[in-house]
Amino acid sequence: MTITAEDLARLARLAELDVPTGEAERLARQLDGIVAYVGQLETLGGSPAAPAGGIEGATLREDRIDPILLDRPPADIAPEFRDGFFLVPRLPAMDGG
Amino acid sequence: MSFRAEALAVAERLERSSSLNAVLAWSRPALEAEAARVEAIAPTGPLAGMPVAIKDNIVTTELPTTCASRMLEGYRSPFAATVIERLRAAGGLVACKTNLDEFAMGSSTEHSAFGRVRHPLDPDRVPGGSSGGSAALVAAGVVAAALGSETGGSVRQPAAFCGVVGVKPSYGRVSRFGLVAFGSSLDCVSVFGRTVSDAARVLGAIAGHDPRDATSRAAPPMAAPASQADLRGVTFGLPTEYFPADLDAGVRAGIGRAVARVRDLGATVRVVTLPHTRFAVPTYYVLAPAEAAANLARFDGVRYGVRRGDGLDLRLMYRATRGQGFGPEVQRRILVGTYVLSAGYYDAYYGRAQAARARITADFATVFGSGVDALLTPTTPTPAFRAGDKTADPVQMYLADIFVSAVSLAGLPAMSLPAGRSEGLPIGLQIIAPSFDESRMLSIAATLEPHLDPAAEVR
Repeated sequence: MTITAEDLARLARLAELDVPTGEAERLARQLDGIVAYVGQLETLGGSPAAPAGGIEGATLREDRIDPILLDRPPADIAPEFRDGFFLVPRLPAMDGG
Repeated sequence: MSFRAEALAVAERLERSSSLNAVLAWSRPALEAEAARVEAIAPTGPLAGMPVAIKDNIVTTELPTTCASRMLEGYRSPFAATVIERLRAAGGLVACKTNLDEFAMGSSTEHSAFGRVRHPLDPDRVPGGSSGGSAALVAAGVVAAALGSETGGSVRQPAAFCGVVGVKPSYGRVSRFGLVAFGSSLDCVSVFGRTVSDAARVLGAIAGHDPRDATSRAAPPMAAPASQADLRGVTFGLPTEYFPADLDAGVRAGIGRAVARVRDLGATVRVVTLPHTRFAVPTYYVLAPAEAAANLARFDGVRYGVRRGDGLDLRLMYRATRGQGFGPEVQRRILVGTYVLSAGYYDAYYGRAQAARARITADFATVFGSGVDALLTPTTPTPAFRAGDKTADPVQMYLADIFVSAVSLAGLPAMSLPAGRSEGLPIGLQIIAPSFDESRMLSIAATLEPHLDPAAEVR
């Protein structure tokens, strides 16, 4: 196994995702299968360096923001909105987790 | 027929087709209001009164947009996608929002949080995916055309399974503004039609540069496809990699028959090679999850998504929201994407996949540079499979896209054309064209269409 239960826990933390209880073992096995499958890219040969990005012919717009007209005000969309601010739950303690 | 009459007729058909589970949102009053609104702005547009079904990852203000996810249950966008505005400006009616694999991740529409879509010809089979709801509605005759989206074949593959026309334009031909992002370097709004002409009309209406999508291109407008008497002067390539020894016998027979018709119509057919084809699916399943992991970060219970875990601190709320809101396939892809982008693995996976993508793209350029006008391949390795056949093993599901992913990685236009049936199930012929050569591709398809006899058994 390339992906262990510890790896899965680390990935889930990075992805800000609670893996459903009881699913961890099966999920680790499935991820392992997927990673093994995409691992055949190793046989590509040559340099793995990514080519330069960019899209030929792309038209860049002027660096200016045109507001998108909304059908409804933000207060109607947000779970909590007060005095022009979006309210979110309290920040976590700095636990590094 | 008047706009209102079209709307009422499609409402009747939507009611009768409910057993397909192809639709996530529609209502008779919404359809009547849509008909009145569109008739007022575009009484004589090229699509005047034509009802078009919309995949539920394209945002609309009147009907909810859920991406078939619990995460967005009941979500209503405060703005409409560019393609919706253009459709209406051409006289097209938003008929309904269609079921899909959650966030467009899947190849069978079994990964919808709101139940799987049934294949219109056999309810035990899948319609393909991820745009399975749109494909099934066109195949069942509920609408003549529908919008879907492709990241790696999600319109061509269900078009082949359901026996309808599916067209993926070049990357940049159609605005992505208002298409819920999955893999931004790959995502394309794409079109289903009952016929080549229906699909081409809708694609023509929605195509064009949009300043709200920096990757959309200012290309000359597409000409309407012109059906010719024959295919004289056209050179087709048959890539050997798309005809493996284990190709389904019915698919092989169907494509063989289509190639014979192409020759009868006077075209030149030659065998070509796209040597990096075998890397297409693994490349796709590195790049698409990597982009998805980044794009889906916005579904956190603050910016988007139904908030879970109220009373918890922000980080635990994020984790509860995402853990409960996303289904299993979306979670797998986010975790794979996180893995291939994480420190120590980036070069081995993401870097290599970028290099493979460049070589896959170069393969196509070499073939098209050698005098080949278009490629002909099967769209799928088998006809529609049974529901449940591939859900236990994600990699088996991914391999359903083996003939459609390379085109997406290269950003090329391609389409699936119904090419007969094997044991009653449709087979799709894929036509792949050079970048921004949609007009010629659609003209070839329109010329070939009357000669393919899509309802006939091929064996």
